[in-house]
Amino acid sequence: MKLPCIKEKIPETERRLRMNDDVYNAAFKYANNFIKTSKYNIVTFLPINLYEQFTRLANFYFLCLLILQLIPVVSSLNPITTILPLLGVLSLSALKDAYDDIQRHRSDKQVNNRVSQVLRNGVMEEVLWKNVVVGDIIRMTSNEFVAADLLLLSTSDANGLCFVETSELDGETNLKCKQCQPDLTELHDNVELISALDGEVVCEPPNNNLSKFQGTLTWRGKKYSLDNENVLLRGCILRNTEWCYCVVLFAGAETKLMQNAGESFFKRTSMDRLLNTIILGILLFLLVMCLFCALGSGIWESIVGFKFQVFLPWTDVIPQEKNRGAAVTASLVFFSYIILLNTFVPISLYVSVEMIRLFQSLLINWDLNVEMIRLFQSLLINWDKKMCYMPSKTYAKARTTTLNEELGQVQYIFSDKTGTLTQNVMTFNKCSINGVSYGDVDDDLEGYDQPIDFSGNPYSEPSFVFYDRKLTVDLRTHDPHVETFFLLLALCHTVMPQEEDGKLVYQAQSPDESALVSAARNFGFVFKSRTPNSITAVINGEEQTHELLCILDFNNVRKRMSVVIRYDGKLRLFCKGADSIIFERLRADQEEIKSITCEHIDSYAGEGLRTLCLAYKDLSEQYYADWWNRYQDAATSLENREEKVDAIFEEIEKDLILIGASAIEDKLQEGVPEAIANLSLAGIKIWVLTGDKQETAINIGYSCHLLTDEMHEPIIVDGETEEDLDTPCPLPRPALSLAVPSPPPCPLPRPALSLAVPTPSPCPLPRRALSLALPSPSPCPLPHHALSLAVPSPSPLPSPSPCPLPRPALSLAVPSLSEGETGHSLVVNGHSLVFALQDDMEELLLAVASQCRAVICCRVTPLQKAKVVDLVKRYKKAVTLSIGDGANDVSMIKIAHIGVGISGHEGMQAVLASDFAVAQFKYLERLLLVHGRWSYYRMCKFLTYFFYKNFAFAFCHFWYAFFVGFSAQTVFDTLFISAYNLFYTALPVLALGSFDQDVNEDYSLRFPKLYTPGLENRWFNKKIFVRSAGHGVLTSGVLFFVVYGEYTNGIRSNGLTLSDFYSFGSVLSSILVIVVTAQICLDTGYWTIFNHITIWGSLIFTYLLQYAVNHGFKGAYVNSLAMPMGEPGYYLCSLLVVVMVILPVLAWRFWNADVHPTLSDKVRYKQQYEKKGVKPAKPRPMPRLFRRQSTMRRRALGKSMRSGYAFSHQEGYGRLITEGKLLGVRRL
Amino acid sequence: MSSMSSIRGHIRSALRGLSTDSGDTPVGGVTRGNTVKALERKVVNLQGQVVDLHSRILEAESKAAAERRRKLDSKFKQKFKQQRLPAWQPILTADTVLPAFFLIGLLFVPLGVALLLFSDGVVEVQVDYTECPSVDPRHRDPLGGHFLCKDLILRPEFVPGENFCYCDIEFNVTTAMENEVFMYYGLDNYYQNHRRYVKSRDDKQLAGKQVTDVSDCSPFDRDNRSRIYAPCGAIANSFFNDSLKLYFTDSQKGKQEVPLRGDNIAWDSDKNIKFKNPPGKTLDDKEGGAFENTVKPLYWTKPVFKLGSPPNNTGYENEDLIVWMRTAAFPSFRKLYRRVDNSNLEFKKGLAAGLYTLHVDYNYPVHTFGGRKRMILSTTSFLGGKNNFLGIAYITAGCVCFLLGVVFLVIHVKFGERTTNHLNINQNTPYTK
Repeated sequence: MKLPCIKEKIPETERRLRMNDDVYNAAFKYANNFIKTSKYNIVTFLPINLYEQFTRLANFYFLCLLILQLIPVVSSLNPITTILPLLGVLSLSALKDAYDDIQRHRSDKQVNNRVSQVLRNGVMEEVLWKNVVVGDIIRMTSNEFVAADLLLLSTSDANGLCFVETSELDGETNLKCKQCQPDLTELHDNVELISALDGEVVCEPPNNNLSKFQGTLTWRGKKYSLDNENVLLRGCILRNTEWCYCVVLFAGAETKLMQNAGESFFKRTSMDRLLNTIILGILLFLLVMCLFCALGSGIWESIVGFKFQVFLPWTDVIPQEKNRGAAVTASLVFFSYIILLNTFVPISLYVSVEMIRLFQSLLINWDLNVEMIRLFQSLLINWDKKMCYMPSKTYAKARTTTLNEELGQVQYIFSDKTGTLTQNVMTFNKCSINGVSYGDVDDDLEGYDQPIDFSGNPYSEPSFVFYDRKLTVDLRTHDPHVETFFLLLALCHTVMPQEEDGKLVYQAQSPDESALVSAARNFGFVFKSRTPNSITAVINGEEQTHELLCILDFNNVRKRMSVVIRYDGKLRLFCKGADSIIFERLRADQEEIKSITCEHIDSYAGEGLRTLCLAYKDLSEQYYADWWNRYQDAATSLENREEKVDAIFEEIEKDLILIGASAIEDKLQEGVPEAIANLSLAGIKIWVLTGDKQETAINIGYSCHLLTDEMHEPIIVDGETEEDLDTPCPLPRPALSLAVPSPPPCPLPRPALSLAVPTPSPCPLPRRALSLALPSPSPCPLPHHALSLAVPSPSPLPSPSPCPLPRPALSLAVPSLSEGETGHSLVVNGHSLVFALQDDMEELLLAVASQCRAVICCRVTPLQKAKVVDLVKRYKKAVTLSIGDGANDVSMIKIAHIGVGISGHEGMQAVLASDFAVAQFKYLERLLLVHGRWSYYRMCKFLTYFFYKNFAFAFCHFWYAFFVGFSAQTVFDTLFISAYNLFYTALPVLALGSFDQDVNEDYSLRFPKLYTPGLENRWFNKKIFVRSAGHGVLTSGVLFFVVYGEYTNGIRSNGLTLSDFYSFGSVLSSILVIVVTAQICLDTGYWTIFNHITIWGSLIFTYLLQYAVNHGFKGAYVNSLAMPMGEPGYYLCSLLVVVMVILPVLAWRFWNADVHPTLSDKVRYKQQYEKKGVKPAKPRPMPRLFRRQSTMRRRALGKSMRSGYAFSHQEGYGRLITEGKLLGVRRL
Repeated sequence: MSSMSSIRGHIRSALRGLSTDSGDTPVGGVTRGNTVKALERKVVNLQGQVVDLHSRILEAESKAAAERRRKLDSKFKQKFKQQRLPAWQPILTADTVLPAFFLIGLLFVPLGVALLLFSDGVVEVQVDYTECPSVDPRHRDPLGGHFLCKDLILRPEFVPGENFCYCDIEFNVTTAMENEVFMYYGLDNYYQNHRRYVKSRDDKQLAGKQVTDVSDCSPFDRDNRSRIYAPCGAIANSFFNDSLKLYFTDSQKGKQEVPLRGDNIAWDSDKNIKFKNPPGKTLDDKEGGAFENTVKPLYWTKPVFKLGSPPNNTGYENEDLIVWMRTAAFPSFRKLYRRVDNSNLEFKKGLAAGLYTLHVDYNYPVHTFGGRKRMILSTTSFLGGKNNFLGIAYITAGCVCFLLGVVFLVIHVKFGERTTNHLNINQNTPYTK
């Protein structure tokens, strides 16, 4: 027994537990399964929340101000002016936090109160999750949530397998297979045996690594090693397994899921960062002004104040000696002015910004909801006939409310391909069998626009569509080639069958495989079930079982898979794989069919289809037996097992007979080409980062209009493997001097930068090379050379040796690249990225890439995706947006400024990590060009006005300082100071920030160039801030001095004076409200009912409240506004101030709109013009894209386009199948 | 609609019932009474039905209206969520902006001229008496001249309020001051708006409430015996205590005093709300008196309840005090001191042009800190006192506006982009040229 008190402190180094021994386990005081994600309870809420809030800089700043105000010598303002807004902010935030926490409490409670079957004292009991402890044995049934991190003991499967869905953990929806220790399988469902279990587990301490687990189990004197295969993690769901027994290893907060639930870091918009710098600037400015005032005060006190002591003696704390007294007073006044002028640094800014963002998010949600519903309905009608595509009913959602305006400034979009641009729905589209291509539909022939009717086949799927009737005809005549083709598809795969609702459903590692198997199924070659040694298929209505001898599984190097089947008593090897791989392994007599098939494959690939080659080979029994023995040897060898196995596989997979090829279409999502075209017109650069193969990626690039025909041929960076690095550069140095403006002084050590330029001119200045050449920051810019540039070149490089690149030419070339229709595109391979992303290369990569209109990175890993995004983020200072749908996009979504998740079918991981979730890629267009643009527009207008009005307000105090001996006397009433930002001027600007729009959504989409200001940061930046602050200062100056001029000797018509402090302040403050309201009237471009209400409402409210408070409370200001308002002078003064302040602004704006109208001005005019019914708004003209177009083009270029190999990168289920482990799946 | 027609059907059938009943009824005398009764019943019944139907019609109508409202509502909601709310979208075009400039210009210039004319009609006379020499024969200096009051009052023997130093200043009024004439005293370089000065008062005390905490008034809150000053604070303590009199020298009648009134010189609201004497049996500091346990401010010669004339113009309600307590916004200010008494026959029409003498009881020291003292006589116009500022500002603004209008008209004609060009835009039109 250990002492319990010590354990608390020492971090756990290993975990020990014994099954069925709660006394032993309890001694360790492991965490129980109670989880708590909530932060507060009733008692701790106030202190913790307050502490959290005051750690925010703004709140802390205002707390300091409040403390200053409470010091009587310094206080120039009633503390209430700070207390009220501070309390408002604090309580609003506290309310929000409290609400969030209540939600968390609720979900905690719900989770904690789930029920598990736990073995206690030899019987199964129902125990709440929160009461489950480490060492408990749990019995789980299918579709149950895993309660904690568990060690699998036994399952209903004879092999001790069970299946879990891990979508909550990693977002992958395919089932994962877990296995218990083989010796434990004997426990079965026997409660007695299980309650007698006395194994001891020693394993790693709690950690957050989801893919690793280490431990040992000691049972009956034997030691078993445990790994990730043996544990079920909390958050998974048990599937396809009747029951299983598990022992709890980690519970509650110590589970891997909870250990992974790190604080998601807070994303800030660039506007936030700008605001922070601006606020810092304002603070500095404030200090300078206070210093100025303090100086003024010192001078005044020593010249006038010292003598004025007759009537106003200095206070006790001030030394009576003249200069020292003045100095002390000055330093006190410094703080007084800080209090007085702090309205520069408005606390309400944060609140207002938050409110506006919240509102905008609501609008986005509402809008897209409605949009989704509309789309859903129209699609139902449009697609009713085909019925193959149903949009999910998931709604678009703004998951964070703080990033809206950033959507209006996106410069780079990083998009995943699969599932984002494409639907991730693979359809069997075409095939080539024995040199005959099927699937091309001649539209002219009658009846061919109708899909083939497969309803005669009981296993057919309604979603499967094929048009070419030639294939069915050939099938009916029992064409042996066609039959072999489909037989291969039905037999050679690692798909698992499953029965759901009485229907046959396939579970596959890759959608391509499942598409092929289901194609065979629809053509009457139905793969039905499998055992480790056999495959059962229904072929033409007749059930056949074939002996499965061996699976030669797929991997990335082999790029093929084969099965050996005993078919009709003969041994036959079926093989499918990438064309290049298969073609190398064909029998010598296959040349003819090879060339025809090759042609077909080229044409398929050109259309963006993914192709696979199919081949077979008959084997003799002896050969196979011999081979099998050698395979067994290799498979059990201890060294280089994989290489040996590969070599053995290689041996048998040769002299193949080619059957043909299949082509699978990776369907684009609806509206993707249009969206991409419009987004790139808007000036947003779109990079596609995909795990796919280069050719596939390029094809998709063409089909979704990312690459266009007007563009130059893409620059392909395909520095292969590391061997490439060591091969000497095929090009002499001059080629490089072309690329680099000033030839590098240092020689390139291992020049792999191969640059081929297609232009044959003697001293070529190929635009393509230019893009590479532009920025070369280091003197030796290409020390490494993974970046090999290969531009398809019809002619070899003429290699003129001395051809210095004139710099002017370069600078000329730059604008021509960014403007105009033509442009460049870059395709980077994942292998090259490994090197290109190294420190010394990445800037070059970026420099090249940023000259291109489109960039495609293929074969990239999730981490590389994140690195690429980060690269742009770091060097370009640009706003980046990542959009993706899968778990592999999470890192990129998290690192980008804005992460958008596609709420599709591939799990929720991407959505959970994202800031915005949309159902389809095409909504991104609307999200950015409409909502993002509006959000940015509104936020900018809001901020511009906000700073204006606060400067106009605070500077009145500054002007007044010159008349009050710099004594920090306020010019306004306390009430006015507190209410100015909260009530009098808050609502109109909130309405502006919520509703204003220059052009409506249709025009925003019609004229994507309207997005430019966001890209160029045009509507709010430091310059605009300075301008609006200056505007505020001038306004306050005009206001102050006009009122001064009128009231300094103010006399009423009945002789009473009007020049007193109280009426001056009242007049000044009320006219200030009028002026800033007039300004917002000028700023408001879209007067909805709410703008009217807030603008006129707050004007009226200002007067009413002033009147009510002054007369109701009968304070110092009683009647001091009503009195001046009884005189015409007040109105004349107001009119004059408004005209003097507004007219110059009006003039400036008119000048701009008249002489330099922006697109926004023009579109606004057009919109209004067309609204009047002169010309109806045309539907936006969008170039329709035809896939064939790109195909034709490619053919014309005569470039061989090889297949996008249709397999996932993961290993298949092959191993599990041959080891007989997948049979736990319910058999049909 | 359907409910309406069905209701109409009901009415029709009911009426039909009535007519058939009457038709079928035999005309015999015995049955007639019954028939009439039955008919009456029917009529009553029918009336009930009609009322019932009427209410049903109303109900249906209100339902329809509610439905319309709901539809309109959801339409509004939809538009709101779609951000397609109906809105007025003003844009700045030459057609709207240029006329505005010209209009404002044309409006402002005459307005400014009118304002100047008003201001011109006001007659104002200012007399600076800071440096006035004592007329007391005791204050003759060795050279035969007179010492200046400003120096004399710094002497140790000076007792304020004892008529220690007085002076006369003669001045000419060149234009007759018609109608009401007001006398102001003006102080320059006097910081009544200094933060500590403005703060140094207790509004509660002045409103006649019992106060115990007068810390705001510091350092003039309590005397060394801890009695509260009444009124307390620096403002009250520095109460202006020169007294001014005006004499008119008529060629026939000689020098005669211009009658001045000290009432209605403070704001009504101040008198009625902000300044009230505390409750008490008597208006003094005796036991039970309103000012019990208080002491006169340090610089004052007499306690507050001896100011002015009882009952309405003394204590905190003294109008001179009220005027003084309404602190000025700027260091150079004027405060209403007296009004020329129009009830006096002699000065019914105001002040005639001629020679006037200002007689000052000189008590208030301002020159030590560079201050000045003035006496101002002024008439008023509809717009108040003499002030050319607004008039000039309006004329200037109007001229600038008009000029801007002209400039922009030229710019628009020469450089402005035709709005018809605005319609020739396409997807590729750049944001700016």
